[in-house]
Amino acid sequence: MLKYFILLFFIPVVVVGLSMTVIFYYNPAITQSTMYGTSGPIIYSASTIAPNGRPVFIYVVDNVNNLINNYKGLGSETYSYYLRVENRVPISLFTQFDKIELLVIGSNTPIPSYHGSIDWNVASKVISFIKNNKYAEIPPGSSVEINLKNIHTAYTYTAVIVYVKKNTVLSDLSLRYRVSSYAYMPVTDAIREEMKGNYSVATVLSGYRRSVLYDIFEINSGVVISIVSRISLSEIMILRWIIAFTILLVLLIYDYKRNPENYELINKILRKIKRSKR
Amino acid sequence: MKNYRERVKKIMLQSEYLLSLKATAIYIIAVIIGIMFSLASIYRAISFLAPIGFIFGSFLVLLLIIIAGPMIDEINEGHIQLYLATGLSRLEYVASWYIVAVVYPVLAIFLAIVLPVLIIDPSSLFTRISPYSQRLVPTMLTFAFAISLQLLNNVSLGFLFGLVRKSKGAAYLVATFLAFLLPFILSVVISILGILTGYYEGYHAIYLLMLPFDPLWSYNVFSYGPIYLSETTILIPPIVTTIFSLILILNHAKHRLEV
Repeated sequence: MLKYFILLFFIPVVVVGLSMTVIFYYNPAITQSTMYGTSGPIIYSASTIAPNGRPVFIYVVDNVNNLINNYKGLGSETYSYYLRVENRVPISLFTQFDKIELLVIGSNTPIPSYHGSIDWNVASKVISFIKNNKYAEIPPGSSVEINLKNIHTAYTYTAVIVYVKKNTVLSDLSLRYRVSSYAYMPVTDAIREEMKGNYSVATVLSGYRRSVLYDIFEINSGVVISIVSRISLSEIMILRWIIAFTILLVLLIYDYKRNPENYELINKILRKIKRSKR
Repeated sequence: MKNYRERVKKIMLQSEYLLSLKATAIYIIAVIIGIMFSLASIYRAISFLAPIGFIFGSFLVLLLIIIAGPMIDEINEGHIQLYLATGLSRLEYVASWYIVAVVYPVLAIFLAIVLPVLIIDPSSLFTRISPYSQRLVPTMLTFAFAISLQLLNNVSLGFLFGLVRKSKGAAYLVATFLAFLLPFILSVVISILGILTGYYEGYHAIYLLMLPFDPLWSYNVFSYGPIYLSETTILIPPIVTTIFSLILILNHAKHRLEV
């Protein structure tokens, strides 16, 4: 009877082994993908002028935090969830920009909301905060996957730093947004005016700032954010299987030694092996 | 005590003999279920597999009662005398058949569901199979328990009626009725009454008739709607019915079985 009780356990364990082999050889790349709205609430948008005279726009967007929190607890030993950020920003369309940097950053405290122009001294600190707290930087034309298990901060954001060409005027700044009254005003002048407290220019520049980010995120689905899940056989899982298999195999061998006549199939195989050796 | 031990030994010996004849069919079922649940567990498709499990569970009832069929043939054709002549009592004979046709396959099915999940991802055993559902959804462990309980319950009752009537037809009919016809008939009756009176929810209580027999269907029906039952309420009645039918089987085998 021992044989039949061992087989009760042995069969599912062998079947799991077969399934694990299937997964090892046929591991689908992505098992789940949740596309997510591209741009989200902008909690921080600032414009500044770099020492070389180039206007710089800095953005922090709160568009991944909820997504991460929704999936963070769902991972398991077999399943891992990743935040996938794909940078498909069509750089060739944005001739007015020198460089666009896209980053995923983390912070243990919420980043305070701010919209306006700031001095370079402050802006450089914001930029270094962003760079020091980045989980990943996503160069144009590439994508990054961050395992949610590796995200330990309470808040996660995407940050964008846009380096605008030196002599760009406001009307060239956005591909979709136009305000005729300040169309030919250089961006650097607009930033200076906003810092001085010129309310009309500040209003116009604020619209442009928002629009630049929307252009980057949305034209040609520039930034695609999704959650992907992957299957992977973890060492602990394989170890568990080996332990279960070994225990049951030892018990089977023990029972075979005790009652070899109960194992017709094994006896038949052994007899065949012996015959073929002769 | 010695008598009790000897009796258990005899039952085990007879069960071993019967299993040597019947085990292959049980193992095929266990392999199929094991493959389904291990792949579903790895691919996180348990919530997709669970509704199939509900229907699959009903078919398994029929498969298991078919395994018990030869016992009734042996009683009717008199082959049972050969076993009784070896010193086996009627109770021991029926009990060993009950182990082989009911307990062993149900245990095989339970382990074929639980073991893959336990090896692949133990935490999945205690998570709800549809985490986002608003209904009362069982955990993987409760689901395995419910499917095993339904099999145990329905096959035991089929076994009991087959034994009492000495008819395979009676056993198959009772098992089919409990696994398929009872939920179907009740839903038809409730629908007709609901259409006639325009008050569907008033007749939902009729579904309570299947509470002692079908924990899987009860999960489906009482997890939302006008009557909402807790897991304990869903699982306790079939456990009681199963124990009661087992007592009746053993009692009938001991005192009333004529061969």
